[in-house]
Amino acid sequence: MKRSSTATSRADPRARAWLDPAALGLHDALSNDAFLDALFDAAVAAAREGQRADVGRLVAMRPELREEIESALELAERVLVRRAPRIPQIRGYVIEREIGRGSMGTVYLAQQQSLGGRRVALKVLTGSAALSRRARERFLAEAAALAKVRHRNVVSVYDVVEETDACAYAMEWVEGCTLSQIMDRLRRSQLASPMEAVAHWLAAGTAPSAALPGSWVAFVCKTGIEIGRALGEVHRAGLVHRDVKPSNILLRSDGTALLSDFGLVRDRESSMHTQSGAFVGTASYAAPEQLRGESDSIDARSDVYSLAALLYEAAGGGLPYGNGSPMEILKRMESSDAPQLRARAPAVPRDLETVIAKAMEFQKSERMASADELADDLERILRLEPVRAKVASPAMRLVKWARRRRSVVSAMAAGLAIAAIGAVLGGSWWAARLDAPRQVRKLRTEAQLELLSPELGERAYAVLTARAATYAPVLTKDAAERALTLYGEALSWNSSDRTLRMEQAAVMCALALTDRWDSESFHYSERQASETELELERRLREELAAPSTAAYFARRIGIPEREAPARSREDVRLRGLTACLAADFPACFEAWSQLDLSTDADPLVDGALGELCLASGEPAKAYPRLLSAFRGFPEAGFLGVDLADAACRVGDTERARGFLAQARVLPRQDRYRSADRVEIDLAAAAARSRAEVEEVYARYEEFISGLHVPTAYFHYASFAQKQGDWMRSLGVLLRVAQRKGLEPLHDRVLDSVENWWLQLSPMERAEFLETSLSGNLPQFVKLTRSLLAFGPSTSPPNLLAQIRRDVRRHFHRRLWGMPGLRSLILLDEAAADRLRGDPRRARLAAALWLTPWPSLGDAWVMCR
Amino acid sequence: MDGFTHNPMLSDDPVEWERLIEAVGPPSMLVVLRSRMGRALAARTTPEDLWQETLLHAWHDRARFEWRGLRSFRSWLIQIAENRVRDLLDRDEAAKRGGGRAPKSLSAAVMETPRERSLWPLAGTTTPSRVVQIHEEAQAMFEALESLDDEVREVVRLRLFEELEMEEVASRLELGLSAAKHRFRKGAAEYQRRLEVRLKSLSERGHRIVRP
Repeated sequence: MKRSSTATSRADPRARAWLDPAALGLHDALSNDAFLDALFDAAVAAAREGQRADVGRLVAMRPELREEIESALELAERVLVRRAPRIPQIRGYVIEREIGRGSMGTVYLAQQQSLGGRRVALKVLTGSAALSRRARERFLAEAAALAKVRHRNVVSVYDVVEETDACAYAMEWVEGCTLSQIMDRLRRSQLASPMEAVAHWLAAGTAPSAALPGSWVAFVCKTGIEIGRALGEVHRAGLVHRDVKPSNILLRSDGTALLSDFGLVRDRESSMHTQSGAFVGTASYAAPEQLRGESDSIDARSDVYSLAALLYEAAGGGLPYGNGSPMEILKRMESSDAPQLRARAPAVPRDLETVIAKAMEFQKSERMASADELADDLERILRLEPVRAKVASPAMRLVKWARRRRSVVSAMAAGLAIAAIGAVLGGSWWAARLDAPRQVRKLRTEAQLELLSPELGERAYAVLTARAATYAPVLTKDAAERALTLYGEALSWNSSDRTLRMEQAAVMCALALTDRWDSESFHYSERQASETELELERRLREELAAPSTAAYFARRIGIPEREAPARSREDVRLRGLTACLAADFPACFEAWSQLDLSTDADPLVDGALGELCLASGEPAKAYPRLLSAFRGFPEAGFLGVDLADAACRVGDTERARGFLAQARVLPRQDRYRSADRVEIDLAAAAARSRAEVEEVYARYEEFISGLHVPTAYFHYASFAQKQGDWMRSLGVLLRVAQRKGLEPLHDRVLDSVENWWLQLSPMERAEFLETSLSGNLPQFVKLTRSLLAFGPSTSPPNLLAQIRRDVRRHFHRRLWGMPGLRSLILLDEAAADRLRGDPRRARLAAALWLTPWPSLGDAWVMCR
Repeated sequence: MDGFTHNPMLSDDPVEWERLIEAVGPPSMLVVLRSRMGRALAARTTPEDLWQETLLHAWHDRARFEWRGLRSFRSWLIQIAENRVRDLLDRDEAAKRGGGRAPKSLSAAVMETPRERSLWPLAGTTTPSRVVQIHEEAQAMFEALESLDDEVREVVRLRLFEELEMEEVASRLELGLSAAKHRFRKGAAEYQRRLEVRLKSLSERGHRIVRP
């Protein structure tokens, strides 16, 4: 194809490549398929750089492929996983520049062509997001929500545009800046008289408005009034904004405030709902119910809260509860009220402090009922009239504080009451009775520690990790009977304590199931339910009002399937406890995952969950649980050791050392000497030099030679792995599986080896193979021989085949000549042939494989 | 040509930085990072966390990066992520790089001065909705890619996501150049089709915002 050189020299450099098909390999000799392949590849590369194809020229080369060429070029545009920023093309608008990013899409300053170039803010959703129907629906819902509200203090929506690869809506263009920008500048400049500066900033080069209030506080009130009125209108339209914050408040040059960015708005009529429990909004301004993710209880008063938090920050110079994650901020809110505004900014009027405090009440029922009420009180402040909001009296503040800290207050009140009454009444009997709560607590603690015995951890490990005897009850008979005695004594002090009765019932259920357990067959007997069991089931259902626990127990004792939903938190807790003591850990997890354990401390549940998480290899989850449990049971040495273990595994080694030192001197230690093992783990975490590493190896070796503790083997193997000693690691894993009495672990170990390989990323596998091939091959071969000889139920050939495929994929051709690699291939064949039952061929392959390493005699042994 | 007429690394403007990060395609980067993480590492950290660490590191070292266009910037980010993966996998190596100190997280390392902390723009993800959007797109991309046949998946991954030259893709996979290009065209079409199905399926499952 000829082109004029003049045309070339004048051509846009970006398009030059498309004028030279030969440079792209698009020559006449190509078949149609090859032409399209080359074209597509080039089109992708060009599209990445923002270049567009000259479709006409390409079609001219192959007119018969017009459709295919157009499809290929379109696909090249759509398939890009990233693209250079381009100004989007939106029908009817000329985009001038980008002005910001909203919660969905990008906002541009544009001119609306149909209205003589009127300036608008055009929010655009493009890219792969525009391909997602859900993203488009959300985006258009945002536009629809904005369009529902007509108010001078809400940015107006003019138009919505939907195209194949983009959608957009045009809004009122507000010349000015955001409240957030003004506040940032004020913070940095620390002006004594800020309004002059604010006026200049808002004017942005034009004459400052004379309509602005004289003081910053008055400006804040004025902004609060305008946004309050805007929110009132939003709420009347059936919407909740959910993201009121300074960066969503636009300010015109005359200081008028407008509410914008309805990206998180919730329309009560909409079918799109936020998942309950999920936080939506900006944490620093969010109301408590919003932080808790209670999507159904977020309403207008939540927006009132956010507006008040905004006013607090604007007037006081800082956020009421600081920055942080939703949970961190919620915890601060639950601990105390926000610092008094006038303590931060004495110039703030008392009335403004009162109004903001009222609007920021923790309980939403105590806030203003509407944003308009808040605006009304702000107007009263500006008019120097008394406000309606009232400040809480000291007594009321105490009540409100107590509502946030129920458990602390009830304990304090009980203690105070006991002390007071005891002092008045005197007498040893009375004193003893008044001491009942302390006695009950002591007995309950003792009983709970029986349930949380070290056996729980070991049994959980066996069930969850080693897949040993499944579901054998956790409690020994002795431990159960001791626990029952202690619960009985506690109940004699306080017979109406429902929690005590429930925990006692859980132990009785565990005992009943222990009676059914057949340690020979490793199953529960399927005999008919006894009178005792039926009575227990009735008691759970009727007396203790724990229907879901009763249903669970009924299923375990063979009564026909009954499903009953839990009616209370206590029922769920009890069901989890019953399941835990029965070693039915999946059911235990299922029940306790429904509990909100972040509000009320529950050392028993925390301790049990911590043990289970630790046993199932989730130390990060175990750590906070065990910490809470150890605080509840400070005399439980085994808990301290497990806490140290969890801390060590998550890398908090300093604290782990502290916990271990603390635990070693406590009673109730674990008979499997896990404290010693944790000590070695800590040494492993600190090992840096080769000498230190070798010393840790020696300590692990010594430990496991004395005790059959699978955990120690796995930690040892993991440590070796981290040092890059793969051979040692795999060798240790095989040893644990070969020890007598640990047969149930065989599958686990081989799974580990298999999973170890499979979980390596291609880069890691390549590194491992390189290391092996560069010097470790004899040991690697020896190890794989062990794998071949071990575990008939697993599939070593698959593992080796996988290794072989990976070698193919990740090594260059030149490595094929290496003897080690050839040996791997032969090893694969030997294994396959052996299992296919052709010993002669297997021997031959193995002989070839083993040369020049150990003797043919080894091959013979292997193949027998 | 790549949308940047000037060197964006010289700017402290968070908006500019965010535009740059958007341009490299955060969802596709999550897919790339995921492929770098083995299962053991994936159990300890997520691609999103690794991405954040990568961006922190890139922000910290941006002045040292010689801008040669978006593609080289993207490659640089991948390299940073790979180094971080190695650090996480190999403590001893990291201790040596850190002069014998225990490796600390990148976030702790780079946010050392008030100025750095004040300038940090939460690169690329300023709102909960955007976080969710990126995550969902990345997940859809990953699933679409993984669902491809073995013989085309790697070609698509290496060419489209890793942005290797086709010659290198062919060499790595021991294919002829024309065979590689053919697989790429076929694989990309199938990948796009499956991706669109997944994106459509997400929308049909209803609006769902997860805890960021």
